[in-house]
Amino acid sequence: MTDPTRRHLLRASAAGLLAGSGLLGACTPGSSDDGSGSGAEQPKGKAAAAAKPKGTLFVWMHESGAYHKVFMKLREQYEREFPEVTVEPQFIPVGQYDTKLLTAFTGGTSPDVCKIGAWHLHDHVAKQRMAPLVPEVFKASSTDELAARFEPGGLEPVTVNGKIYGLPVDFNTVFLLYRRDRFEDAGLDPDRPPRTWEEVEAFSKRLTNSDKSKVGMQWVIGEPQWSVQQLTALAGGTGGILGDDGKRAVLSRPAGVKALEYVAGLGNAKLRDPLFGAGLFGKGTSAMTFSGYFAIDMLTTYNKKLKFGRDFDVAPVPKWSGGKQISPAYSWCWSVPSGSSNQTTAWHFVNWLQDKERQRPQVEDAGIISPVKGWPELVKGDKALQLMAKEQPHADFGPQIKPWTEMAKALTDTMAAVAQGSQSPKAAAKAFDQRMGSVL
Amino acid sequence: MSLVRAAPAGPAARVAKRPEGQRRSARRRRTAGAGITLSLPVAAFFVVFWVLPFCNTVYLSFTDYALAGDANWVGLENYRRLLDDPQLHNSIKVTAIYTVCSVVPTVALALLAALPLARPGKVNGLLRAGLLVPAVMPFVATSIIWVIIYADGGLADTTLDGLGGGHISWLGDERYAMWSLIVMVVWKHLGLFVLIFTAGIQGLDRDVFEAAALDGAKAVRTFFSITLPLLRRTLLFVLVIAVTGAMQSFIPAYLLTQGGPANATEVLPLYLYNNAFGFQKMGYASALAVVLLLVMLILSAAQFRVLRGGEDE
Repeated sequence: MTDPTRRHLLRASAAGLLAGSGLLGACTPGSSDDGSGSGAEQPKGKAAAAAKPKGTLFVWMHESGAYHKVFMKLREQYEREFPEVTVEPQFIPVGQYDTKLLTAFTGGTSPDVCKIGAWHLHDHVAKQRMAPLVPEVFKASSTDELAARFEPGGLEPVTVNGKIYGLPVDFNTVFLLYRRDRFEDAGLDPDRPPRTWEEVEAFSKRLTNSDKSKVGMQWVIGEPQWSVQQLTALAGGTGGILGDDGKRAVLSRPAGVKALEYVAGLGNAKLRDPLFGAGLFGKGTSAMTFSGYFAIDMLTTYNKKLKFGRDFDVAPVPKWSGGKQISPAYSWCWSVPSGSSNQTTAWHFVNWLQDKERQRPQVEDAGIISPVKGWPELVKGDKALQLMAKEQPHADFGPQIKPWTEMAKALTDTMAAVAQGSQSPKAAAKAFDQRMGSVL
Repeated sequence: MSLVRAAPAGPAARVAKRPEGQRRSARRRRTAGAGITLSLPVAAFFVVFWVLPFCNTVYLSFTDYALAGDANWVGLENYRRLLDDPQLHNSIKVTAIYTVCSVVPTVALALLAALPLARPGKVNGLLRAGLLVPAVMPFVATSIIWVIIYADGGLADTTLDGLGGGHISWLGDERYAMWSLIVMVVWKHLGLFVLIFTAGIQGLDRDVFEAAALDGAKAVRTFFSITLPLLRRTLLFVLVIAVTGAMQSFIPAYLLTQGGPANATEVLPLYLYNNAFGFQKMGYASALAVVLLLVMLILSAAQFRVLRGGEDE
């Protein structure tokens, strides 16, 4: 072996540095496909409608036992109907899902279709990560014609600046979950759940013991999504948090302070609940809580002795006495990232999933709702879904803004601070408004 | 006729003819060349995965990069915002409490435990190995174990209740959440520091201790006047890794409390992570990372200065 000369070493070092710079360059902004609409040229208009679906579709969604099975059956059916398409699904644990998607968007390796929380859509659209929907693929001449196929307001969570960026799936209005057995034990009528917040307070007093080891209403503390839902209901809707124009935080107004005072007065924030409120409710520690349809399945899995309708039940989210009915709502959506090189087939698949014929197994076997016109007819045998259908006209998705994550975290901190007693409701509301001032 | 044999012709003869100094210099060059060649892969790895990302982080800290689109130059704006951010101020306070309250007991307990455990013997060997188990377990796994320990009806809850202390929500109550994390990290790191101190103590010159014993020095005096000063380098090493480790600590807070309740455990690395990957403010998070690095460098330098003071004189 010859001894390396200084020139050899310099040359090798330079090559190493160049390789390193290249590698790093791939992670540097502006040097890669950052999802800013740089996917392959997509056919538009009639060409899109006429394009034959083909190729491989990478579809990402969060893991959900019941829906996993339903989706796999639908995938087989789709591949049979369109043999030139291969659907490659990936089910990702819900806790890791957002991070995984974000990494994929940033690294330019986004899937062709992904199920994303509609609450994140404004941010993704602003960062040009999402492709606007192509109505022609849906055999609609315009987005208005497409919107007419959904229940009124059904496309609201997926509409950003007048454009549609996905189709809603896993649409939920939130419930008040209550324990029938705890109501009976406290001498309350289990068939007469509270209808107003004032009643919730009165019921809670009867359901809470002296050391607060058992409580009536228990808030879901520390969870951004649920903080938004709960405060949307308590503060008088979206306008109670960010004002009607959505450009200024207004939680320190009387309605917001009243909401936080109410939060501070009920439940026991020191009781830790790793299951979004369902853990304490499942054990019977709390008699009432906020949750969505998913909780019914989760509760009966968590506590096999629990039976929906016998031990626990659902009721509409209460309203303030004399106030308007607000049903906090959230929805996921099927979207197509702008980085997808097969957008037409991706939208074709999304459209196919929305068809009424395909809706039935999704609703009946997994409780997954897409608010297409007439969906309530599909849920005749399910009390919780029927209630959801009834509450849909009052759906309030909370503030839909680009910095949603920051707002939700700020609301979570605010709620936790008043519930833990470390800040007064007035001070916490003011701190929230100030914090949002630098964000909005 | 000369008795000295004529030197053979050829390369060997040329080498033999070179003066000793030149031969040594050539040998040194060859050794240095081999050393550089062998360390090149590691150096390249260091440059690619440490130096360049660091330079990129410093660059991003002057931009508004949001994990999408272009990174626009914003000058010192991110650094200016650090001064006005009340969430950051809370995180600094939380991190300071976490660092001091986890490092001091861990190092003190490890040093005290190492004194008897440094003596030879099978039992001591077993105890040292036993103490090391938490340190070699993955942090994520130990964190999950402690989530179960701290859960309602878990070991901590039932033990306290059994002792008549009632029920405590270890991770749900802002008064106890930080202390619960600290107990976990002390348990986790204790064994490693015991091992380091044990090695340090075993390397000390026994003659000094024997002389002190002959002079009638008691155990406490021996510890403070002989053991501790002689262990200064080991102590410095342990303190530097303990403090930098605590300031970079992310996993316990992320897995046990997610920074809650009410931000009571939102340490700086978690706040940085939330800004980078939650709020997608990569520019601001990069500025935080740069400041965190500078603070750690200053603290480490201060530790070196305090603990090595007087050594050079």
